[in-house]
Amino acid sequence: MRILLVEDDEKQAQFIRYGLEQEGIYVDHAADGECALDLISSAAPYDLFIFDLMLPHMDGLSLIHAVRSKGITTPILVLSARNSVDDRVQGLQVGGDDYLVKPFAFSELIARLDALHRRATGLAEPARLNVADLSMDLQRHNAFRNNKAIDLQPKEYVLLEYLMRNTGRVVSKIMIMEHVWNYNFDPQTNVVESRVSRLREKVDRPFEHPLIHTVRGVGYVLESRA
Amino acid sequence: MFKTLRFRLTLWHAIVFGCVTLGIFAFAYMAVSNQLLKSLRDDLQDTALEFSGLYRIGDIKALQAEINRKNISHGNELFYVQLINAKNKTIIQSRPKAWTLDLPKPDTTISGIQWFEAAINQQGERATLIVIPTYDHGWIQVGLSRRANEAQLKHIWDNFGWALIIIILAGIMTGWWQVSRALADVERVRRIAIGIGEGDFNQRLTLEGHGQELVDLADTFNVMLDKIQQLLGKMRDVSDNIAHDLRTPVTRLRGMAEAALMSKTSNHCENQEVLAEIINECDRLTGMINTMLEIAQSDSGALRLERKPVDMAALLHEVCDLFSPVAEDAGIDLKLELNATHLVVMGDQSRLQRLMANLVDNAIKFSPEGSRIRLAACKEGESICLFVIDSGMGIPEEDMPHIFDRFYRSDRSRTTLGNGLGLSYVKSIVTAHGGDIQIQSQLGSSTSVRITLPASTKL
Repeated sequence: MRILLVEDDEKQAQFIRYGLEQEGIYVDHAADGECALDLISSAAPYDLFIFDLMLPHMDGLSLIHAVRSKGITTPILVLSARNSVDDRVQGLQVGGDDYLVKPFAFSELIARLDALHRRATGLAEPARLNVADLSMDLQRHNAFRNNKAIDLQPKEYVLLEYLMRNTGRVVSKIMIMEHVWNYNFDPQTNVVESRVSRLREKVDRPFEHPLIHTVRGVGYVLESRA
Repeated sequence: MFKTLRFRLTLWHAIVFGCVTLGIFAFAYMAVSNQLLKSLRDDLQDTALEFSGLYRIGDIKALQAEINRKNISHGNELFYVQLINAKNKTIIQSRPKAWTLDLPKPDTTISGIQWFEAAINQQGERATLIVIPTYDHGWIQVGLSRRANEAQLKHIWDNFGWALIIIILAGIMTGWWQVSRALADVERVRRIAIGIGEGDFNQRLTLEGHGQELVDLADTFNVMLDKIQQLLGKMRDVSDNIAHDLRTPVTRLRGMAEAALMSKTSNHCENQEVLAEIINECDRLTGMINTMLEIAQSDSGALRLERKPVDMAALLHEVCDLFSPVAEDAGIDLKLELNATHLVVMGDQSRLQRLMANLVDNAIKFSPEGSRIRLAACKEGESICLFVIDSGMGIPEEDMPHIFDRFYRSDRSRTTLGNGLGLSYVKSIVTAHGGDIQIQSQLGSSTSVRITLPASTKL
């Protein structure tokens, strides 16, 4: 995947680029809107754009507008430190596809980029998810490990599905709150921890190799480490 | 100068004064003038009837004597008499020399009294004339110049001119004085406003006994000043709090990073721990900044709620479901007691979620093992009532007045997770939704939170 990152803050650009390259994503970086437009018209087509909103000379909204008016439909993820509803709505109205507020969890950036890419390329929805000996039937809404059915509560099912869809990728507590409960904040008590630990009781405890791992300070990842 | 209120009000004052005076004078002048004309006519009619009587009894001598007497009593050149018989022959005539113009001829076909107003000379002098028939089918014409009348009216008019000038001057002066008096208070308001503009918010207006309107203005002004001072105080508190409460986590962050960097013995694993802790701390800090911003926006009325119909019954089910594992782990019995459905408010879904989550969060944090937490909701008239009741440790009386204060943390809560913003956030969101929150507590046994939100009129 090739991404164009437009961000004027050198430090932030560096860490986003570094992080994305760790994920095997190729990143071009432009520090302002004009450079970005030059790159877009000269370089090979990108799969995704990441635009910061506050840019020197030409601001992010104008850049999105300029790109869209050229007829380029590449998905755009908007980054901004501004969190008001108006800012979000405006960012999406001029042609952005998703909006992420700074500071963000890196895992969330990856997940969103991935979702945008999937949507753009129109990958078919799988009928089953499989990780090692754990499998999930998305039509029948049930999960098996080692061919033994796992008895899941509705929210536990959603949580496991979310972890499996992001196999090998860390998801933060906030991401879990958003996807499983549709809450956009993390309560102070450890609601996610206790939910994950219950899920572990069912998915990992009876088996030899655990699949759900805690990444301290960041979140959880479901992957086979056997 | 011409745009000032002082000039305009004074001008109006003078104009109104002048017009009213002029109107009164015009009325009086007309009345006097009519009265004079009427008495003149009465006099003429009496004279003419008297002459006609003397003529009827044939006493021409007496008539002549009477005419002379009238001539003298009316003064010089003012009185005119002509007696004509049926054959149109003048029997007696007394005509002043100054009456040079032809006088109107009486209409002989009319048998009654006739009146004429006529010019009598080139100088424009006018006279009133009466014609009455005599017994022998002749007639007597008697006239009197209006000169005396007009001299009287002119006298009135001259005197009035001066009066008018004096009255208008008086109007200007009283107007100026009145307006100046009123504006002196406005000037005081202006001076105090300048003082306030320069930063002295302690000044207050006192305008007792200066007219109710200005006293009201002063009161309104003072209320506004109180409000501004309050807001400034709040802002100062907030910035003090921000300075303190944001510095603390930043200090912690810096300390953790520095300690890890300086440690000579630390290994990769320990570094990972520190980094994870730093990320947690950053997330807490971000959460705190966002919450503070929302509270500040809500307090200043700038918070934009994304209102749509929200079923509080469903929302409570979700909150209960979300927290039940945590409650279970803590040995707390968390239950939702709900009979009603469709408890709909027009509200901001995600903020209402957070509001309820904050309350349940609090209840769990401050409830010991084995205690109960009950969530409930009902519809009361036009309101939706929400309850979070716990049998936890309660709130000490001395803390009650401060529970909604930003960053207020009682001594007992300092040891638990939290930033001291939970309840002030709850209060802000409830207020922004036009609702109300009440908290009652008994130390050591229970706390009950009751929130009322306006019910949606739509379903």
